[in-house]
Amino acid sequence: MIDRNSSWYRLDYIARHSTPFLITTALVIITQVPLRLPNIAPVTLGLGLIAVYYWALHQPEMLPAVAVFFVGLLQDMLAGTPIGLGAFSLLCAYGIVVSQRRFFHGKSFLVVWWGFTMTAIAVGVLRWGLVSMMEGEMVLFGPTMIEFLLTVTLYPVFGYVFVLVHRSLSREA
Amino acid sequence: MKPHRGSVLRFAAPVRNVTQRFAYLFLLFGALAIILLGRADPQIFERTRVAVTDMVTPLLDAASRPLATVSDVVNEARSLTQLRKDNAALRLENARLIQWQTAARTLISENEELRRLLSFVPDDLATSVTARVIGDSGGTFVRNILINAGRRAGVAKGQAALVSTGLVGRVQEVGERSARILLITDLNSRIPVVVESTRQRAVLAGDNSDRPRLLHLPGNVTIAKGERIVTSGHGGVFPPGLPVGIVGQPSKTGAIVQLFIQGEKVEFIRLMDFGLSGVLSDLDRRTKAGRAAGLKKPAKQ
Repeated sequence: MIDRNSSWYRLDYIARHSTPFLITTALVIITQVPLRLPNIAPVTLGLGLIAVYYWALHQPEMLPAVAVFFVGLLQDMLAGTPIGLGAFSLLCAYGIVVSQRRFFHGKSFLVVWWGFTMTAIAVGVLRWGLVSMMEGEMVLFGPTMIEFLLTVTLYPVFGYVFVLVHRSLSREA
Repeated sequence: MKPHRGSVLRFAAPVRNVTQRFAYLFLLFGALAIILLGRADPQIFERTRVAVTDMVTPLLDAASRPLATVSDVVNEARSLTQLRKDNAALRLENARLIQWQTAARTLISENEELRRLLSFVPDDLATSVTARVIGDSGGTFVRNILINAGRRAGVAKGQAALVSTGLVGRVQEVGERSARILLITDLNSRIPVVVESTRQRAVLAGDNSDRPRLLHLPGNVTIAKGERIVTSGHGGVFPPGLPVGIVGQPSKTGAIVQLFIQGEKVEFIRLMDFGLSGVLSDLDRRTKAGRAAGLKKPAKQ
């Protein structure tokens, strides 16, 4: 029997519960690293959104709203986008996904992927609209489109890795 | 999650739900308030932004190196396939450059001769800092890059960021060991330029795409495709004559400029301090530089 008050148990508990936050933070930082691939225009990947979607859908207790808020702020600070934009859009995505969790429960991967596509469209349009409002003119929509397509394409890869991480985290919990 | 603590949790769950929902709304409105605050006063979060960026800089620096190696290898492999073609092109270019070198030598000696005649006092030499690009925003809404040099290395707001082929942008924010460069492709970038051959003035305006436009051209002026665009030196941010790009296909909305460089693609960048304070830097620096400029001879223009 595990002693729930031992310091080892607590340490383990904290480590398990902070893993999703740490992964999301790491992905937001990695997004900033320049790729410099020849013949490819510079693009952003919404890796932070992938992580937020996954954990909001499967285990929101492990990535609370406050963690999403701070991840969003970090994203804005590193990318040089208006502060609060990332926090607001990620929190919106988080709220939508958490409220629709029951629908996705036990559904196949394709449905989950479709859900991510919808979320990514909503977030992309929201961010584009907010930035356009702030700049007082319609900013180019092309880059948002490319970011959306690439992020949706990459979802299965990261989703799979998250499943592995998630399994190893909940093995004993 | 499995309920660990039985009936207590069953009671507590609805209460927790309400608190969580409240916390969520609180955070959502918090984020919105932050956007509005930042919009009202862009300086308000600058210090936090710079401090956080400084903290993450070592991580980005470490992560950017292996990726740079990967892209080097890819480039290397690609260049191997077109070795013959490149070689022929380079031979031609070399022959042309030798002619230019001769012309330049003649001009240098002529220039020195004329300066001696005029007892000309040359400008202070610009100081430069070289830095590695460690982060880029990717350009969905902003075009900027992060570099791994900051105040400690002598980087200051408003300095021009260059690579050997042309202008990249200018320093927008400075931390202790990192700085953010606003690229000339960014939506908020406006640079006074001139057409090199005709000296026609214009403003180069970024729109987040790779091809910024020329604004404020008089209606009767047409600019030929292929004309070189260089900085004009107006506004005191950049010195005159830094190469920017060439004019692309003219269209109804105005001339498009093909830049000499793509800011996000470069690995190293040179920051030049030309001793120009510009319209962007802090007030005290401006007055200091203004006083210094007043003592010296006026600018060449």
